Amino acid sequence: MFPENDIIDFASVLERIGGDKEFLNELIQIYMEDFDSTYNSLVQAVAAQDFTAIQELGHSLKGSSANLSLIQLREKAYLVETAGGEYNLELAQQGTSGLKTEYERFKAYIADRD
Amino acid sequence: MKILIAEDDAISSRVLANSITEWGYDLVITRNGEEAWAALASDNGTNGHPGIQIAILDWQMPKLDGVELCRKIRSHGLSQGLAYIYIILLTGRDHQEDIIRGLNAGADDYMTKPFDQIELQTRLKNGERALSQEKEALDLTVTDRLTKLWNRDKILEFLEDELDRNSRRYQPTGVILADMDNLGKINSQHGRSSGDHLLAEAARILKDTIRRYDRIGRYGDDEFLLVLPNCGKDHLTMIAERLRRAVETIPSIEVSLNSSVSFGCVSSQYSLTSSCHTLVAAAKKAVKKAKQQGRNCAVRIDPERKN
Repeated sequence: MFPENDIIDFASVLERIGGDKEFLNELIQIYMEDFDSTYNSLVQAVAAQDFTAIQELGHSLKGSSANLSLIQLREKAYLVETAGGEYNLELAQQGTSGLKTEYERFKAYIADRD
Repeated sequence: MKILIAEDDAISSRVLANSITEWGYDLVITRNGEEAWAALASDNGTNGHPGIQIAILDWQMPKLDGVELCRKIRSHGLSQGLAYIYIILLTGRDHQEDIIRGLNAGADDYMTKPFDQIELQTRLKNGERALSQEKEALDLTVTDRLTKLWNRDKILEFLEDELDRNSRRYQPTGVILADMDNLGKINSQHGRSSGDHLLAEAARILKDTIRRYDRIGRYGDDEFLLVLPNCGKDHLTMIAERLRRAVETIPSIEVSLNSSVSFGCVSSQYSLTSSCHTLVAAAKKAVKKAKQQGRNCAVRIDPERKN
């Protein structure tokens, strides 16, 4: 059993993918490979105050985080998406920095687990 | 069955692909709406293979989103007469209001992300069931109930298409009208069910005897019309004789039924401008001659050459 935490809900993601832990590791790898480039695009979009791009990138990160049941990362991505839709720069900056913090926590958690 | 995935999110796409291939479906993976449209347009079942039958489309995608793609598939499909594609839209949990818009755009079903495998499998099964019902309904409008052959309208449509195609390629089309001998007598002496049994058996045997790319339909009560692409007059006579021998003795539940068939044949060879109507009329004339010659034979009429 995996410990309960607010980073990843292992039970729910494993249930969705038929309990295949190896496949879950593969999905986590895909997530990590994609995160950096999406995050960099988001930082640029925030700097340029491109709210359409902020909303789209937030939506995209929200979807992939939800797929892996990454609880806090999904929350922060949702903030970013909402900020984009509301043209709220402050919220977008807050969400973006929250994403970075949560991603680092997630990475450390996975490294510990390995 | 072949399924298309249009999903820009790598994880969602990977989860979908993993399950779908495990369940034995063929898969086409695309990352945006434009790629998906190109895949659907090039693999849509018009080349004789079933093509992509189910499409799983993400709502939010770059270039062409799921809803726009859905509309495009529906409007294009209608105008081009393409096979029906069963569409499942994917949408986020907090975008439930999108579902109505998606269904209005022509989607058949939807799934909210993240989804689990059992839900996905159930929805794909629903899709398969809907497609097979759709096919059955379509079949009923173009096939003959008793013989399961194409009906009169459909076989004439095939003949027209074939004449059109063959005239462009300067290839002859063969037409055979097969008329059951003594069916009226059999019906009155042994009952309609005996006659129906003979008709269904004759249909089955004729269908098994023709070439893979020939078509056969029920033209009248006791008549079958056969359309034979790229079939000149000599070849036509050989095929008709083979068919005649095949149905000469149909195994019957009744004793001693005379169950032969007369054949009238005509090839468009001598007149590449022949219309569907003139060829069928000529085939009818040939059948009449076969009946006059004592039935159970094949007669070919060669239309006059047009200069």
